[in-house]
Amino acid sequence: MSDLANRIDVVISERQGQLPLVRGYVDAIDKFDTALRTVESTLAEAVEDPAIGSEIRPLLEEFRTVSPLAKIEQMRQAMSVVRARFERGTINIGVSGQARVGKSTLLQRLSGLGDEQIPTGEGLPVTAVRSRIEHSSQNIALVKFHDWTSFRREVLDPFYREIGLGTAPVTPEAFQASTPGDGIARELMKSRQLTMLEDLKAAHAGFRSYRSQLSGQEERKPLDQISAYVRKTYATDGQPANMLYLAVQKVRILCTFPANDVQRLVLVDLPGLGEISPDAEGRHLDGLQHDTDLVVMIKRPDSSQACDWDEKDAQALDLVERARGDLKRTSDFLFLLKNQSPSDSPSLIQALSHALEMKVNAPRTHDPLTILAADANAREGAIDGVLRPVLTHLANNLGRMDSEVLDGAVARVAELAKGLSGLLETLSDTLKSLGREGDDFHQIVERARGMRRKLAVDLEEQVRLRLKRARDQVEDDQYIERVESIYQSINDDLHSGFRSDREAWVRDLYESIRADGQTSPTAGQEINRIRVEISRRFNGLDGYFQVRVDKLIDDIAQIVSTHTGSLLSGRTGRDALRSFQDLAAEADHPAEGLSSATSELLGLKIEYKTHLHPHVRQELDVLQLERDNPDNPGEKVLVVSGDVSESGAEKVATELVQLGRQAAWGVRKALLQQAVVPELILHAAAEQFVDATIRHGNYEAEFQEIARAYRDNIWPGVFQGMKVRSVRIARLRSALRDASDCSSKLIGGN
Amino acid sequence: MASFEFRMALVGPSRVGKTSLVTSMLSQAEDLLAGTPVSLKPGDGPTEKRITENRDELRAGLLSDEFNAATLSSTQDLVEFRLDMGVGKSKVRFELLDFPGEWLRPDLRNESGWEQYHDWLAESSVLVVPMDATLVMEAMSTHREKGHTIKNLQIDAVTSIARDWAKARAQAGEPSLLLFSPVKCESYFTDNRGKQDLSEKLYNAAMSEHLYGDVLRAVRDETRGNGTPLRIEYHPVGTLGCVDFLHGHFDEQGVFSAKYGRRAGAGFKPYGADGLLVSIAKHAARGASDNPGNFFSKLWKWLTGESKSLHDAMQSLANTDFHSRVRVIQE
Repeated sequence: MSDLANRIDVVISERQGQLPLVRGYVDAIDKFDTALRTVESTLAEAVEDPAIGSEIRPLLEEFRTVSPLAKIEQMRQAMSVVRARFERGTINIGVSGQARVGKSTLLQRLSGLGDEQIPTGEGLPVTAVRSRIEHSSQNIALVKFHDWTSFRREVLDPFYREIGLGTAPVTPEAFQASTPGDGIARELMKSRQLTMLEDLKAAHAGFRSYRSQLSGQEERKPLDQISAYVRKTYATDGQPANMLYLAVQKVRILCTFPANDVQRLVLVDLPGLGEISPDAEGRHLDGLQHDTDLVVMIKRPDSSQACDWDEKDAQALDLVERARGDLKRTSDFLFLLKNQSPSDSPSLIQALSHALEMKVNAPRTHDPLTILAADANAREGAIDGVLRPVLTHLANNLGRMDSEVLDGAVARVAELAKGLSGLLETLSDTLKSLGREGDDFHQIVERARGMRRKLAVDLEEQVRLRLKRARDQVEDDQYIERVESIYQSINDDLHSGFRSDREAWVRDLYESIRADGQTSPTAGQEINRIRVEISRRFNGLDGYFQVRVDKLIDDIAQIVSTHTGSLLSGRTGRDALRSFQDLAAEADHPAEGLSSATSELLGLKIEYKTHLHPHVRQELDVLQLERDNPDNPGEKVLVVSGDVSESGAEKVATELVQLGRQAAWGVRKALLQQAVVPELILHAAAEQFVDATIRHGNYEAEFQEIARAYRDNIWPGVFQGMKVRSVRIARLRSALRDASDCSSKLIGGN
Repeated sequence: MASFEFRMALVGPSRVGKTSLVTSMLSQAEDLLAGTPVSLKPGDGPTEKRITENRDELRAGLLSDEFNAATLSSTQDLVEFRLDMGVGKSKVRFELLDFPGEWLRPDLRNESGWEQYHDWLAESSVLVVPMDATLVMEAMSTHREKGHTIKNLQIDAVTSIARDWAKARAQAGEPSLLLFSPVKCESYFTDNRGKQDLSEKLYNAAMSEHLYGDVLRAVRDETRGNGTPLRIEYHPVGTLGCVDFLHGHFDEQGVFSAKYGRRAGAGFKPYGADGLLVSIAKHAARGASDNPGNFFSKLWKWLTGESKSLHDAMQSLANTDFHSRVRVIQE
């Protein structure tokens, strides 16, 4: 079997290689579950909200009608079968059949175990607990005991339910103190129920014998000491037998199978078909679905009745058909075994063969079952006649079977997801048709438009007024006053050459002239000094220009502030515009045009040096030491000159003062004639701001961004209710979107 | 007859520089008539007195570093300047009636003066309109300054008088001469040692709509289409010739006072007023050729009979070319 063993190994490895995919599905289902629960809870919260509850209620009802969480459970079940199958790591062969067909015998032959571990008996059924028998180098039994809860749930409740006694007592004491079945009208009970009632009464009567074992623990037991846990015994004197097995939840037996080199092989003792025990069918199905790769169903030709394919067999086959789930063919999952011994009557064998051919395979020509014939009681028969063909089939087909199971589960999950996706889509559409968020947006857009319009009107008016002032050459009296004032100070101070007193100045001039032996160097220096000083004095206009710029900024800030609600509340002038600039830049979608236009306006400066000096510069040209000689062109004459004497210095001073006065007057006159320049600059700046904001190509969008980002500041209270609605709707949309994403993954193949 | 009277009218507000203009004409006539026996002199005591005082004031002003033209005295009455151009007893008497602008104010004028005014206008073929170039150039920087200056120059009154004169001239149908004469032009021309040539700017400013453009329009309106031969000229005059405008100041009443600085090494030397005499002589010559029976023909006939020297001097003046600063606004 070594080649077969290798192939089985490969098949198992391949199966495990698919685990990440399967786990991915499981995770996706978990996420979908979470997402759907979020949808439900978000809907439920929204329903409680007066702002939107009545509109959302139908959505929640629709959601609940479809029971998405139940569908998730179905997905989970579908995937749990696959997951159990792919995580298994072993080949599990189930052995099934009605009582006394040789199941336990076959298991003994295949595992090498004896009656102690796998009880057999003539007459009454003796298998109390179905074991999993695993090929292993160890030889040990792992006995897992019930605790009270699992005992009540898995053992007692099914009895009570099937018998019609309701649910089992809640505590062990109550169970012990109870008298199951007392007072019940036995004449109304079916025989199956009566049988079960007897079994329950026996379990109740023997409760003391096993109650202490309800530990919930797993215990390692030597193989020769497990009989009491797996074998059903019957009292001969009407007294309850030892019922320890009732405390056992499951038993794993690890042992070395004889003549077997398939390392990862497990034999599963399936509950006897037709046993009279509560929930037998359910447990059988569960075992088949989750713990079995292939089932060998045994038929034994030991009596004329058993040689037929009767109702119980048909029911058992139906159960297997259900358990195969997504496997396309039952023949992949179920082998029939004619357990025939040489001592069996050939006619009975033939009768059985005939029955199997005619009643089982004849109607299923599309999927005929493999019918093995072997003597399960003989090791060769068990191994060569049963195990080998079963393993060969699995080695050849398990990969395909796994794919069928996986594909089937995936398809079913996808189908369920599709159904839910439809639900989510419907909800989403309904949400859209509510159109609340759209209304919000529409309102904001409308309000933003209105805000911009009002801003535009006032800003345009501001620009228009400034343009009018500029065009009408409206002079700025304060500017004129400022120019006059500076001029006056220059004119006053020129007398002493901008020094503290004239005498000292003339004295210094004289000393300087005397040192040089001539007037020109001193006069030249003084001319330059006077020129610089005049310009410096007129620089004093900058302070006034700043006032004008601030006024413009105040005016614009006032307009912006007026039309933006409390967005800039408490702020004025530069502070307000700086805030507006920042807010525009920090909106969710920055309004960069508005921000940079505001920044530019805030950076506006009018300076004497840059804006006016170039226009008046030539007036200072009179401040020159030499000029062309009018009588002799090409020759230069000194404009300022004198003897090297005190009176010469006085003359120089007088001439310097006169030049200074002429220059200062010239600058004054030129500046007054430029009195409209500041207004032109302010108008240009205001117009530039208006161009870049309300006339800017993207202004609509930018105002909308501002409006959206700061609507509650701009229109306090207006959007409060809507905001709640919006948040609700946004959350719902988000939850629906998340859930839809999950379902898409499941529909599209994870 | 030893003299022939030639009437002219002089219109402008007080302090505009009318007396200074006459003084300048007298001064420059000396150069103009040098080498001839003919001279131009004040024709009577009052004229001589005013001219002498004015000249003294001008000269005195020049002694200080900064010279304030507003300190010159002025009159608000109708004053007649009499200037005699002659040789020996033969003389052409130029009679200039000075109409101060203020005189047009009803509270300041008197009825006899009003009659005299109308008569004079009807007889004056020449109207001289002096204007203060400094005001035009330096006192028009702002609307407020412009307002003051227009008021100070009494543009409305001057316009009104010029209009009356033009009406009278149209009535008379004789050749007429309107002479705009900016005074105190030293700082705006380089032909008399000024630093910058701002003559174009001065002309444009003076004849602009707000200032004497109004006068020009009124005169043209009154004479257009009725065949009155009207010649209009522009004669900028430097009444001192040796100063530069330094700075100015409006007082609280809106009166502008200008300060001038004397050019180093330069003395009193008016410039440009000679053109006025030349222009009047040319006007007389043109008038004579226009109509043999008119005033001008009589003048020339008288000159021819009276004094050859005087005739020749007049003829010589009429033949003199204008200085380049003179502009003929209308031929």
